[in-house]
Amino acid sequence: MEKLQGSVIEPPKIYFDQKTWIQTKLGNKISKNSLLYGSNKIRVLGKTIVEPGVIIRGDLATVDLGKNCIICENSVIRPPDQRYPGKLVYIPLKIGDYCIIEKNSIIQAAKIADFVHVGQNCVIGKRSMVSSCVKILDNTVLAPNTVCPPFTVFGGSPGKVVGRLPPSFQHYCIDQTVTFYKNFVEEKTPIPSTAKRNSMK
Amino acid sequence: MSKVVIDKSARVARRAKIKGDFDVEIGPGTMINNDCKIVASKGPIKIGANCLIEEQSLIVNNSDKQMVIGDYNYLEVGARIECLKVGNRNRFECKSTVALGAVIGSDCIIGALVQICPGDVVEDNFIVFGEKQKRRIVKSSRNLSDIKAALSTSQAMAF
Repeated sequence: MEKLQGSVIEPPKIYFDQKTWIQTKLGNKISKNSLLYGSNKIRVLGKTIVEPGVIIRGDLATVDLGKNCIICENSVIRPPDQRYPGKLVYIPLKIGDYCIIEKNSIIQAAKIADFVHVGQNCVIGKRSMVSSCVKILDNTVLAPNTVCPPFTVFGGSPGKVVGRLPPSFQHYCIDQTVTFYKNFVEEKTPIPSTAKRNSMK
Repeated sequence: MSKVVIDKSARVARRAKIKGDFDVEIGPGTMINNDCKIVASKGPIKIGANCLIEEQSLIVNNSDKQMVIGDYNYLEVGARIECLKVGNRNRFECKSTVALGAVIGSDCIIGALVQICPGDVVEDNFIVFGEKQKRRIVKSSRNLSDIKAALSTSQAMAF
């Protein structure tokens, strides 16, 4: 059977109100207060959580979100633009699996691979390519067109390599996202006591 | 009563919020995206021609005098402007804040996450960037061509 109830090691459950959240067939939990523009161009693989206040601009170009992602409040996910002589074209944006994007950050990258942890209040510049297993600290600004190599920590403004990550960062990301999704549970109204008695008979 | 005067060729999105007790004037050709806030709480605001104001940005007037924003300004996502005088052809990158009392000239670029203190003067043709807010003179200004390209695609796309 499962572990003991109320054990200290398990993280607490977070209850959300069923009226303000949408649950899709693939298991995505999307808040009704988030603004998704061009929703036919936004592709979300299963089990991601999109919190209230998030703006995803799918009307500019296609946006692909991977599975088990967490996008926290008030973030903006916006495809970048590319200037050619005489015109400006918007490039599609891809975010990989098991990513965590914290509050108030602005993402204008061209591609974010799997297992990336983006901190609060970040600005990821246009057309940047963030490889897998990268941690971006809070309040960093990544200049446009930066390339982040895997297993690095980026910080500062302009963003530079500040540290290195161990190979176990991949499992850390999987662990964080999967347990957060498991504990993000809708509030269930309790069954009244008379109904219980009738079912027992 | 306060008036909001929007020119015929300006495009204001449905979810943009224009609040306040004072007049707001928006020039021709400007585009105001969703989720913006223009708050004329203590004084009137005048926005010039051909400006691009992107999401989550804030233009607040907390002083008694009139706030004048020039032409061809590009306010990227999350920019906050509270100062009274802004020139032409500037670019405010993501999440930059300009406090009350600052003065910004023309052809400037204010980098991402930069906070400009009250009383600061940013002269023409300067870039402000980085954590320590270094400044240097722009070698070749491309602000006008950038914003013209951005305006033409967004006008064709959105409406």
